[in-house]
Amino acid sequence: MSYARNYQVFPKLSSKKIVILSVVSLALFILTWLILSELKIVPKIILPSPIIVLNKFIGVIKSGYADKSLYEHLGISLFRVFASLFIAIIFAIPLGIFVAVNDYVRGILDPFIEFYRPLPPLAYLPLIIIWFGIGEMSKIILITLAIFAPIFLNTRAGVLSIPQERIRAALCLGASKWQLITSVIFPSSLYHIFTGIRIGIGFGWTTLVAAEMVAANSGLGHMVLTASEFLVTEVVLIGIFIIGIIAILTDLFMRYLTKKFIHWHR
Amino acid sequence: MINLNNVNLQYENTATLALENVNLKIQPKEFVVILGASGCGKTSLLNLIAGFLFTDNGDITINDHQVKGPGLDRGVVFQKNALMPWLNVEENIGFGLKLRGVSKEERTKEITKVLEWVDLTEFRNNYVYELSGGMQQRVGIARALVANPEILLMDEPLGALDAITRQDIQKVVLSLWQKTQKTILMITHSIEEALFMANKLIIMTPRPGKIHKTYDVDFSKQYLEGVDAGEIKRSQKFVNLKNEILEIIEATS
Ligand SMILES: Nc1ncnc2c1ncn2[C@@H]1O[C@H](COP(=O)(O)OP(=O)(O)O)[C@@H](O)[C@H]1O
Ligand SMILES: [Mg+2]
Repeated sequence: MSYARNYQVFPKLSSKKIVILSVVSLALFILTWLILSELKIVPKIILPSPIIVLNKFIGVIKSGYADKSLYEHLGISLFRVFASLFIAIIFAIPLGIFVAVNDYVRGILDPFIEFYRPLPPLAYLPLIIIWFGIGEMSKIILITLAIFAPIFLNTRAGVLSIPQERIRAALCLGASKWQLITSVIFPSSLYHIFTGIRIGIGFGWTTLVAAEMVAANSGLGHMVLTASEFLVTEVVLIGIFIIGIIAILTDLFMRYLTKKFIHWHR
Repeated sequence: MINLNNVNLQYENTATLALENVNLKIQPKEFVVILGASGCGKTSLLNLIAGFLFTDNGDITINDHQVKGPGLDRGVVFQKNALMPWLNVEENIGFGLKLRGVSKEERTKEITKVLEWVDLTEFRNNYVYELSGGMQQRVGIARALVANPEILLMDEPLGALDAITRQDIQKVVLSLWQKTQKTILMITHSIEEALFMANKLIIMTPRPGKIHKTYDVDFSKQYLEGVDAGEIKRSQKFVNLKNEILEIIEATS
C-alpha cells in the first residue's frame, strides 16, 4: 500500500531525492568545468582545470603561499573573526537587553546606533585606519563593529518579543529587577541572540575577507588578493573554497548549538 | 479582604471608561467569578488588583493596604504564555521559591506537595512543551499556589482549553479551593463555568465597563458536598439562572 499524499501545486520531492539531485547537479558542474578547462575551451588563466587546482591545493597545504603557510593564513583569519565575535557578544547582548528594557538607555543610544547600523563596514574602514593604523587592532575593531549590529538588534528584538504574561508571572513570584533580567529576559531571548550570533559570524567573515584585501599581509583574504595580482587563479579558487567551507561549517555548528541549547523553541 | 472603592479607569486615547464607578468587596475564602462579554473591563479589573495597572480615580486596598504593585500575597494564573519553556515542570513550579532563596530541600518538599494537588507528579521532569494545554494550566496553578498566596487571581485560566478538559480542570480548581481555603477571583466568559464555580458571581457589562449585578450561588458548594457535576448543571435552578444571565448579557452588549 502506498502512503497518503498531499495535494500539491508546486513540485515536491522526498528529501532523499533532493539529495540525489544535488549530488548529480554538483557532479555535472565539475564535469562541465573539467571539459571546459581540459579541452582548452577556456584559457588556464581564467579557469584552471580541477586537476590543476587540486594539485595546487596539495602544494599550498605543504608549502603555503604569499610567505606564509596555509595554516598561518587560516589561523590569523579565524583569530580575527572569533576574537571580534567574542568582543561583540560581550557588548551587544547586555546593550541589546538594556536598550529594550530601559527607555533612558534607548533614548541616549538610539541616534548613534540607528546611524551606524546600516553603514557598510568598509565605509568606515579608512577612518579606522587613520585612527588605529593597519595593525591587528583596526581589523579587530572593524570586524567587531560589523558583528555587533546583528547581535545587538536581534537581542533587542528578542527581549521585545517576550510575552508580557511571562514577565508579569515572574514579578508575581517575587522576581527582583535583576532576577527578571537574568532569569526571564535573558533565557527568553536566547533564540534571537543565537540567530544574531549566526548572522554576525556571517557579517564578520564577509568584512574580514574585505578588510584583509584592503589592509593586511596575512590571512585568507590577503592570500586570495595576492594570488589574483599574480594571476594565480588556482590559489584564488582555493582561497574562495576554504572561505566558503569555513562559513558553512560555522553556520552548521551554530545551528547545532541552537538546537541543543534552545530545545524548547517551536 | 479586597476592597475597591469608586474605581474609575480610563485608557489613553479611548472615548469610554474601561471601568466606571466599580465598588467591590471580596471577603477571605470567597470564590468570586467575574463574567461578562469581551471588552467589558474584566481584565482591567483583575490587573488593578494584581498591581499590573494603576488608576488615580478610586481606591484599591488589600487588607487595608493600598495596592502598589504585584506582590507575593497575590498569585496570578494567566490564560497562556506565562510558563518558562526552558524549565521543566518541577523547575517552573519552584521558580519563585528559587528566586527567593528557598533551600533545595524545602523547594522539593513544597513542589512535591502541589504536584500531587494538580495530579502532575509523574510529569515533574517533563518540559512544558511536552504537556497538553490542560496540563500546562495545572502547572500554572501549581506555580501560583506553591508560594502560598492569600489570594489567587485567574484571568480566563481555562479559556484556551477544549470543553472536556475545561470541565476536568474546573473540578481540580474547586477542590483546590476547598483544600487551600484561598480567596479566588476568576474571570471567565462562560456562563456555565461561572455558575458552576462561583460562590459569588459578578456580571459586568461593557461601554462603560460596569458591575451590573451580583449573585450569591451555591452550585460549587453542592459539588464539593458530593453532588454530581452533570446533575447540578442539568438542575432546573442552574438552567434558569443560566438563561437569566444570558438574557442580561445579550441585552447589554
Ligand atoms: N492597553 C489598553 N489601551 C487602550 N484600551 C484598552 C487597553 N486595554 C484594554 N483596553 C480597552 O478597555 C476595555 C476593557 O478591556 P479589558 O479589560 O481587556 O476587557 P475584557 O477583559 O473584559 O475583555 C476594552 O474596550 C479595551 O479595548
Ligand atoms: Mg480579558
